[in-house]
Amino acid sequence: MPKEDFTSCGISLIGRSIRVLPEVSSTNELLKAEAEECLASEGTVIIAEHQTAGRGRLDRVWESPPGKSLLFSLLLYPEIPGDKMQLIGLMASLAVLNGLEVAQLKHLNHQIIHLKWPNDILGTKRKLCGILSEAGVDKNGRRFTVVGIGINVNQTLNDFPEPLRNTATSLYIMTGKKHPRTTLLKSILASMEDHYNRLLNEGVEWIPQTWLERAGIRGKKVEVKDSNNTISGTCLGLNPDGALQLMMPDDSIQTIYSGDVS
Amino acid sequence: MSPLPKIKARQPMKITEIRRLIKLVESSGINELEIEEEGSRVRIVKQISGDGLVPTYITTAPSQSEQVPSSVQSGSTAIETPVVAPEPSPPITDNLVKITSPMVGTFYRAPSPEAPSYVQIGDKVKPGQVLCIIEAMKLMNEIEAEVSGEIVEITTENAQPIEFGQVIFVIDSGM
Repeated sequence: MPKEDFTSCGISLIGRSIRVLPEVSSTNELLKAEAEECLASEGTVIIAEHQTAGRGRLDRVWESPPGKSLLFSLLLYPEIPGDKMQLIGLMASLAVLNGLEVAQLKHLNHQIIHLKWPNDILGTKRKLCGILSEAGVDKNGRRFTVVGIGINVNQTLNDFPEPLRNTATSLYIMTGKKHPRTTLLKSILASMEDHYNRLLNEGVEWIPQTWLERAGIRGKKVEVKDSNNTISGTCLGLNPDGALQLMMPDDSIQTIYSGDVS
Repeated sequence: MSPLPKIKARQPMKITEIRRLIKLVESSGINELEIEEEGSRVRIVKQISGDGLVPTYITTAPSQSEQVPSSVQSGSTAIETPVVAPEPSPPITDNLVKITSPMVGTFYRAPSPEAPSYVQIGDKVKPGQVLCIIEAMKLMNEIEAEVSGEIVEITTENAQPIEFGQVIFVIDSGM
């Protein structure tokens, strides 16, 4: 595949500055450090060909064979009430899903891609994309959010470490075709710009409802694991702050803010 | 009498929390509420007197062994006998600043399980310094000190759930 030029994939705000680094410990870490010092503007994207310390929740490492996945972080300054900051992750997952569908529609061959609460994207029930956001305050006192996105694009099954082979997938595995990452990035950034503009214009109230409709999990049985225990119940919907509402077997309602859902 | 409702508490019981629960019982249709958590138990009983409902409280002390309620009740009058070993509390000063959680989530004292905590009791902090992370739905939200001072209390254990508005740290800004 020819060398890919990501720097022209930006839209007017999202991706107006794009930098590509051959190797970085973590794009989130780098962009966050720049944001804290006011060295990066809103919409900045940093892409890594390889991350040596890509982060997931609880510092789980995001595996990234060089050049085969799309790993990037995006800097945003959303004006969201503090107790609803986490909706930015749901919005980002909607944007990525939409961007993937637009870019890959004819190749996906009706393969199932869907959202997993709070902001993963699964393909054939395996992890295709993960999103981890980090919020901080810059030295001028402005709150920012760095949205870190990792998408498995051209990996073969053997590119994943053994423990992930039953739980991860890539667009290549799903479609049998290699995909130019620039096309994907451009489509995702365009979708992100649309979604973010809606957030700026309308606030965040639409996000939980849109996410729920797209995820289609209302009324479905779900299981949530955290580090201590596992609970299962029926999904009633999402709270206005994005929390998962479960009806438990004893008819009580549990509100979930973190955990792995299956 | 209907079975005693029990709920599992999510954080160490504070006096403000007990007050909140008392109000909850007073305003609800339930007569008794018992909450247990590791090492402590609080039971709130609503007594029926000639004048109506009188809330009474029984608080048991945190201890390693099973606890016995130690309140004395006489007629419709409840005599509260608190035997709770007071939690280590910060020195009384007018300079205490409470840092509260801006969101519901999980409290982390360090950026990763292996990393050292951002701050310890006794640490001097300055405005903008990161004190902890609250995680909700894969958003890691850094909570910063708003004032300079010394950390005199950390109310919550690492990796525990935290509520919106709950006090996480107390900083003595006069130090």
